[in-house]
Amino acid sequence: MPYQIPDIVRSILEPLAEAVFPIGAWTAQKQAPKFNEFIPPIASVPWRATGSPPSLSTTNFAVVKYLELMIDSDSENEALAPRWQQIKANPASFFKTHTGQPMSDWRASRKGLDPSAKFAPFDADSNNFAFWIAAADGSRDPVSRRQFYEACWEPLEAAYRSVMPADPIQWTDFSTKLLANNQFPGEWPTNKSVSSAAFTVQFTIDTLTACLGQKNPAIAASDPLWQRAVLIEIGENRHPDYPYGVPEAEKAVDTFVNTI
Amino acid sequence: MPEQHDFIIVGSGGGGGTIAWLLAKAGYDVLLLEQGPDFAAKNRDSSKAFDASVHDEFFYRLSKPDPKRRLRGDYNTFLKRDSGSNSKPFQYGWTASVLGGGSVLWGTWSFRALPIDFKLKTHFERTGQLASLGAYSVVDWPLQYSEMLPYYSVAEALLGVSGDRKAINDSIRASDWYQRFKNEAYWGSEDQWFPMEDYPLGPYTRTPVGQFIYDGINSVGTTWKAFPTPMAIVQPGSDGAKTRQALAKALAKQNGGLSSGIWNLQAEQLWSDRVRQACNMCGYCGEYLCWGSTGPKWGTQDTTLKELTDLPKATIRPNAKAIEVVFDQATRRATGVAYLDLTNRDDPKLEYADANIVIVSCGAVQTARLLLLSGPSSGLGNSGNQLGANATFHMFGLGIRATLADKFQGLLHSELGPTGNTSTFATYFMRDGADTWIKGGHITSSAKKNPLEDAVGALIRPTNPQIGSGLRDEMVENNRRLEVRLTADDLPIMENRVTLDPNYVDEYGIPVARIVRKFGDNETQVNKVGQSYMSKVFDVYRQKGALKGDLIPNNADLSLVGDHQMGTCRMGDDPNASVVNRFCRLHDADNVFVVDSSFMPTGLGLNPMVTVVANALRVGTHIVDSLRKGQAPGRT
Repeated sequence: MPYQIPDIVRSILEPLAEAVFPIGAWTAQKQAPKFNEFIPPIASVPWRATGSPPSLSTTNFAVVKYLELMIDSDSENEALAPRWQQIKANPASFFKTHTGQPMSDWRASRKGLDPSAKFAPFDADSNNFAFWIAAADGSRDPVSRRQFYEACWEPLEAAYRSVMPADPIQWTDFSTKLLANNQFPGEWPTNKSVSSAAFTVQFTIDTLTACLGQKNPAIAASDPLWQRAVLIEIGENRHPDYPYGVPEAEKAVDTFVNTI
Repeated sequence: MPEQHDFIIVGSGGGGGTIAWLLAKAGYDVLLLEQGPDFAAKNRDSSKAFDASVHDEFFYRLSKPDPKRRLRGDYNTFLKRDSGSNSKPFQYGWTASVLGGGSVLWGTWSFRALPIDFKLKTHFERTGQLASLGAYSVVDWPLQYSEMLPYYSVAEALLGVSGDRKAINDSIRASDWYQRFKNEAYWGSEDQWFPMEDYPLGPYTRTPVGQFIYDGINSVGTTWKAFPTPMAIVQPGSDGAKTRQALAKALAKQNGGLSSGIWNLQAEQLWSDRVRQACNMCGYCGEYLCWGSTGPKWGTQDTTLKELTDLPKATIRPNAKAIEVVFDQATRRATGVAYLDLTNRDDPKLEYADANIVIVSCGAVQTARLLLLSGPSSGLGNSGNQLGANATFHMFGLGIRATLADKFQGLLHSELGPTGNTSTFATYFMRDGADTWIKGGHITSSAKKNPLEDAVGALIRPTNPQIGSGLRDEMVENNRRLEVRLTADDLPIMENRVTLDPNYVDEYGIPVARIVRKFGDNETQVNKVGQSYMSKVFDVYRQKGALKGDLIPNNADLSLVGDHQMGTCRMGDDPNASVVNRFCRLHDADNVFVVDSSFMPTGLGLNPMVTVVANALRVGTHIVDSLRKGQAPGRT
């Protein structure tokens, strides 16, 4: 059964995505791309008529659907999280030595090792595991992407309801408050297993990846040019499956030098 | 009954992969263990010349744990020395956990060490600077540069380096530091400093970023000369890298410099007729596997290890994580290697294989870790308390960023080719006073490759993360930015070392490596002077109004370690002050050798890969020669 983000949360995430990654404001700051200067030149793009201004938004990239698909395809983290929990509880779970010694004896025989062993690729400052929640004792517990996000839906909705009376909701302010981590003491207290800041950072990473990663399965049925639509609008030519050649590089150098 | 081999080699990167090939080519039975998977075999469609379907920048650069840099559940810890804090797991200190090791992921900047790199202690003695470097353990290498020289030629042939030798020679010769010291007796001869042989291939195509820096360097003055960065990437537009022919040429030029049996073989006997296709400049190779199936970007995986598979007595075993070099104290000999078969990573199988000789080449961090896990309680090769010490990593992060004016929007084309393109040696030593020179390194242009990476970087930094308009502001000029980087030497300090972490273990309960590091006064000064030097490249563009805003200096990041790991198994004649002897054999064990960059007594101001490959060839040649003479290899 494909994962479905609850409707109320979906209605929050869609405008929130645009707030954390304002594509329209970004592309508006750029000079309009010259399609004939791309390598190879681009004749036309499916999201706007030639000559009309850029009008992309995160909605074009189905960010919420992308998130659901990421949760669905998270089998690696779903398998690893309980394994990491097991090893965290017992670092000797898979310990083997040539001599057959148990871990405690082996550690005692090696210089400089404390008796206790600790397994913690998900500890603070570590960047070895993407998803974790704060455990009751203050340590971190590795979880799957689904567990991470599901811990956020309830406080996110509560925080949203607390600002709902504003009409219209100031989504930029809302996202900034979520990132600040202490602006919703009643709805999203700082002692929640996932902080509002951690949620905002992860959600923004996922939004960025949906829009810039060129591998968004949520828009796979669309014209392939959509995968790099944002990049094209900001004048970034980078994309997979492209063999450049010496002539293209020499022409690019010439154009560049002539501009200097 | 355990399986038996003449040699077990642990690690398949530039050192291990190269020496495995040489020994197997000499007719020995070789088992090559690699802890990582054969990532390309799993992910790349080899029926295509270039399989672009797997270009995935988020997956390969940003997702954690990075599947090719670090095995899941494997990590290092870091401790800022003298900080009073405890070591913590951290994101850097990576080891390339993939068949081919670091040679698959490196940036391909292919420099020989310079002759002075072997004589730094002598140099600082003669200049009177050694006394002020009291906190450091700078030594001369126990080798003469001339002993390495023939192997550099062979290494460049194997790598298929694209470059312009004359331009490099001109850059060195014009530099004010070279002019200042060239007449010193210890400095080395002209033929060492200025080799005459061409690289196997012509220079890599210049890109707009490379041109910008090229002109900037040449505008500084007559002592600054730019050159195309030599790279182990097959020159675009060429008809490919023909390793056999390049080897034949390199061997013919040695005039007896390589006279032992293995090098008397014809090139046809040494290498197949495989041709590496030219680079298509797709630009996805920076710290990636190259997706060209014949290895446009050099790594052992697509070159040396393919040759190895042709040999009947060679076995390559990926997913084999060495956990101990099994050692017999009574005989002072290793008997073999214990390893975990990680074919199913959830269900490791303990395995063991016998060998007459064990060669360790896991990178300076993981080699130190493996030896510390082996032999006596304090580690194999550690009787002098030197194992893991004098770790150097270069001063990564040291650079200057510039943003070009609005009119350059869309013209920089940073996507073209690999990250680096243009370099100079003007900064290998930098003047810091009337006649005081500090060791720096070369500087090289650096293209911004990936807006997604910069965006995520702005988001996940520890302080002041950005979303919304803040993120937009940081990204708005992304594709008009470029950088120059100084590959600066950090001088060795005994206390900067790799140890076993006293507490933290990996997925299999094995202590992880702890990296303990601190910059000294020298590095502080290199940071400062280096910024001043690098900013000169942009002076001409300031005058032309080609820049927008100020230059943004980046200081070296102490914790940004891993890409260039050196030291930890210092080579030297004194067993109390080093770990391996001049043949890279452990002082404490008669049949254990180390051939990755951990042997280096001092770091270099340039990428160490070519020196690693050359040294593996040197050590391998010595081993073969000794065995053929009926002598024990490694004896001095």
